[in-house]
Amino acid sequence: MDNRFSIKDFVVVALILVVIVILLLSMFMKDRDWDRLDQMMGVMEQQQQSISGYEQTVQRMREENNALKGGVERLIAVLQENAGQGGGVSLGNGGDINLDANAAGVEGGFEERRLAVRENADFASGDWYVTAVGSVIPKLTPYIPGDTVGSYIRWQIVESLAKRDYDDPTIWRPVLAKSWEVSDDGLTITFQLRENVRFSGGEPFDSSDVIFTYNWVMNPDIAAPRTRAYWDRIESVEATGPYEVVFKLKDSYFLGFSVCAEMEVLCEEYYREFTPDQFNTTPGLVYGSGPYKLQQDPEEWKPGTQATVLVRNENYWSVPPALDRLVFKIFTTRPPMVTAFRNGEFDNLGVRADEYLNFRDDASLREGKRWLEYEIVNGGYRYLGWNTARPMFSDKRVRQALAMLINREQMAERLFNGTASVATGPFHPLGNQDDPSIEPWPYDPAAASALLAQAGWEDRDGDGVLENSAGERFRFSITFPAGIATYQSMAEAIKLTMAQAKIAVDLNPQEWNSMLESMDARDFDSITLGWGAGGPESDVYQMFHSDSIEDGGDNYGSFRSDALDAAIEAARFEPDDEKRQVLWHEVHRILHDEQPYAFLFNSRLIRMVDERIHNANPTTLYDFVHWDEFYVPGPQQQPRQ
Amino acid sequence: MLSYITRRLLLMVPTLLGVTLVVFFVMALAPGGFGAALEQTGDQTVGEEAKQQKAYMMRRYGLDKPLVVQYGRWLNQVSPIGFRTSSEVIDTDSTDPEVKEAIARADAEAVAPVVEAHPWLNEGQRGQMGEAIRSIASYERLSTDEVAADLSAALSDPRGAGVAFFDRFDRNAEDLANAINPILDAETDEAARTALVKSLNYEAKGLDRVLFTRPGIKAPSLGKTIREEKVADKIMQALPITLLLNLITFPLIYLVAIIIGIYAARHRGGAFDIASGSLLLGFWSFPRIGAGVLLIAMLASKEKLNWFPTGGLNKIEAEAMPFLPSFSGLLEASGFALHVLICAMVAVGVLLLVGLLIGQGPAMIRGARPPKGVGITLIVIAAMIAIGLAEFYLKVLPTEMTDERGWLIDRIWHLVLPVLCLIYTGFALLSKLMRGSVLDNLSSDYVRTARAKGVNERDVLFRHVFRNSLLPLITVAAAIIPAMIVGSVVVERIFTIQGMGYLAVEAAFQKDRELILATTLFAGLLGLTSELLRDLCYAIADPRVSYE
Repeated sequence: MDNRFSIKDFVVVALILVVIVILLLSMFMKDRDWDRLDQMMGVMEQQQQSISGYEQTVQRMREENNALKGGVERLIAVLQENAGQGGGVSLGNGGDINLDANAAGVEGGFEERRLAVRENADFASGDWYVTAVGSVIPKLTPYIPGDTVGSYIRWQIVESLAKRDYDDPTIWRPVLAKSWEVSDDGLTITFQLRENVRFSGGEPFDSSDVIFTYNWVMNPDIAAPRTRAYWDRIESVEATGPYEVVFKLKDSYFLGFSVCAEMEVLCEEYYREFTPDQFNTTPGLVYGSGPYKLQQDPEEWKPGTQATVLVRNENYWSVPPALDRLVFKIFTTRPPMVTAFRNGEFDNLGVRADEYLNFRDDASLREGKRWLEYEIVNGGYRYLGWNTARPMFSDKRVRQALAMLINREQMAERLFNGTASVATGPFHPLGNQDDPSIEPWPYDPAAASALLAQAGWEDRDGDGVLENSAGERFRFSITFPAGIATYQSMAEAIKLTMAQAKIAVDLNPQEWNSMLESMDARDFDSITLGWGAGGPESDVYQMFHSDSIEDGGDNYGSFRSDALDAAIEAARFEPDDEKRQVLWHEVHRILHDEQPYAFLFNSRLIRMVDERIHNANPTTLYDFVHWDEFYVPGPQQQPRQ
Repeated sequence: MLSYITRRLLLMVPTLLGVTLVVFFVMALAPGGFGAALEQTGDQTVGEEAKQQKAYMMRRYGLDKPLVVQYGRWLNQVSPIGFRTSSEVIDTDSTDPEVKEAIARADAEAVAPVVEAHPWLNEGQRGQMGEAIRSIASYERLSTDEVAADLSAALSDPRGAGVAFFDRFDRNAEDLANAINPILDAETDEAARTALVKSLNYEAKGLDRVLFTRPGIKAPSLGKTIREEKVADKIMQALPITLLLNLITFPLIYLVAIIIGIYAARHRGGAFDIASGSLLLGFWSFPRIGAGVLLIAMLASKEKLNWFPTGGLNKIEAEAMPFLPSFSGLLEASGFALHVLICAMVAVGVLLLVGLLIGQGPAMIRGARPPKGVGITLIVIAAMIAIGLAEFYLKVLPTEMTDERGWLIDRIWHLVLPVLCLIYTGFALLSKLMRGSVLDNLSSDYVRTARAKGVNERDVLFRHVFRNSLLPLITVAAAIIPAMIVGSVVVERIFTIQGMGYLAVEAAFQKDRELILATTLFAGLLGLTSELLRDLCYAIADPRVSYE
């Protein structure tokens, strides 16, 4: 009698197992369906509420319409009466109806840009725009520090009073504001707000939301210290009417207007339900009046590797955007990201300098995509900063000579494959702060040697290294962040060209945190790094004013120049735009002459964009964030899933 | 047995303490210390505002405290027995509206005397004062009336009693000055009072003050990250994903390795033994990063074979899919069944072919007569593979995944490459171990005796040798489980899956104290638990082992 486990038994057991598994799975599925049903019911309820809100609005509009009709009828009657009396029709000077509500100097709002897009013959609504993001988006909640991508996403959801035009950053276009007036001293700004704005849940917008936002963020419980540091310049915010807000500033600091205008307005009715602690800890609490909104409930959004999806805000108060959805897919490693782009899983890819040559010549990758090369005004710059507290770098002639020893043209070509241009100062050439008449220091070893000789550096003992009269050799080290190939190769190139001029250079790569420590301790000879620009008009007080040497300021090189201090101070507090730009030019000239940094490069950006996305052109201000103006012509619509 | 388990469990506590202590101090004493996420990382830096933000977060996160204090606080925080902190008094996690209402009512009652003396307090400020009273009263074990009286006095005289009030808070002088200065700077009394209310509320809550007067049992907490997210939430989000990956991977590795090991041992020195040994060693020595990128480039790229997705755990639309596959009709259902069948056939076909080649190939090359049936098997295999390839090249397979396939299939489809990437390195060690131990046992005395008695070879192998040979595999299981977590760090990053490995890397990059300690705690717990499980498995596998 053999009790062996036969094939028949195996089949029976397997079948039973399969049945059990299927049963379990279907139970789970039912459960999941219920959850989804619950969610749908919630959404339905919300929509019902907003519908009843609409009904009220419609009712009110109907009444207003009737009143208006009556008024028009009366007006016509009066006019006819007048005509009957033979008098000319004149509305008179006193009753001049000013259709142009905008005050002087204020351009039309962003709806004008979107309307212009809609005039294209092939314009169509629909399709998605899918972007790849290289790291997990940590936060979307406004004011709580997150990353850049997070704030770009937020700009589509939460709106500010006004924003700079993407193409011409000197122009401010109204968003939630209708118009504004700035007092002559620049200290009082009065915003007239739009009256027809609603948040995405249908809540009306008025001045109380602006006041709420200010008070909310100034509460020390809110983890928004950085915004509070900016807003410290605001003395008070007051509502002088339901659609009028007055900002009073403490000083005429040149960024004062943008601090007020770029305030992201929170919806009071939505946000007041949360405690500060909930606000701090809920990562996706983003809700506003913008053209898009989060697909899921903002409280449910979690930072993670799942995609973030924005859908069109159906309640949007202005011209709606063309694309149905904006999708942000996360790829934490580069090769899979590129593979996914080849597969057409998303619509645009930023190209890095080290990939430039490969991608440029890769026909299959570029098929169906546009190749864009451009610069943006707040792209930042790279520099080699001198520690001017060291005797050898305290002489201006030495710094100028060193600038002439760095062959920046050649480095831009060889190291960055042409994705960088030579910088002349801290201001980007696309902005107004930059003095276009300034030419970069040429690569001129002969002139540099002459200058060095003037400063007392000569090869006195013939050992191939310069010495000063005290016999000290010209030898310094370049500190740079370890593990970043760009800086490594930049430092190596500089070492080589310095060696030709008989200057000994040591490379000193440091781990980022150690590097920060050496910077704080001012313990380095020279340092190569990059500064990001805060905006189209940037402040250089932090880096070059002598006040920023002490107390952990960012003037790491301890650079001190009274002329520069005076010029920076004058420029920062000049309220008049044009005069200020002239003052910035002065700052630029002094910096160019003094060379506290050897200014190296402005980066150029390279991006591939799917051809079906139209109007996706580079702008001057930000790197591809005007998604609300993109569209896909009808026949080409095909969302990337 | 029970006392043994208890002893081991108790021993885990000091071990875990030691692990976290070492990790804490290594990270804290490394250049930059904790809180690197507060700095702009990478190559570009930004100015003043970033500094203010850093200072604020340092205080909020407790980075301004001495290291020993920081570690002590963390221990207190994760321990179920210890002191409560003021933040627990203020921010109850309860979302129950009744609880919230009760707190609000108590606050309103407590703040009534203050409001009476200071009718200018607006609604928001009343709320803030209520919180302040609750916090101070619970911290200093005073009655709310006493605190309210003190507060009233402070509000009446911002510059005198108001400033003196701040001395109650355990803060260093510089912080205190920062809190008081705006009040002294305020130009009007009203502005000073408003500033005072704000600062008092903030300081009183102090969020991280330890209530030393109240030791007891409390809810353990893993704290918050620098980005103000709850660590427990993050771990609860990540842990199931890593567990899923490893629960799929482990049984697969063991199953395959055991079969290969036994087969290789029985045919020791044969073609299969040598071929499988070198092949698996080759796998073992190939780094996961390379394999992952290769897998994606070969199997997920449209230019090669676009069979699997490039990353993630689900398609974007998966949430809207039904859970199980659903079909609009019998035709679609049978079509789907056919796809699954063909997939299975291709897999089996490839395996058969490899097995056949390794097992019979060398003999056939030497000119031996192939055993019966090889020809037919070969034809069957070829047919299977041909059907499969046709299927793949017609691109009917997963690329065309529609909503019909459902969430579950979509998830499985996304898991194929990551699991493949996790699995392939594990075979070598285990199959070699199994082979060695089976060989050992086969040459031992009891096997010789059994054979001499006439027990058939099959029974010798499975009744006697098999169970004894499993012991070394159990031993290494404890070492492999933590190694798998390490492996999943790489795999999770390549395939953009947010599991524990991903979290650990993030924590280390950002030098996020709570996140680092929490992941260490979990990794340590996992390691120790798997060791305990191993020891228990010994007792089950080997009757000679006993812990009585």
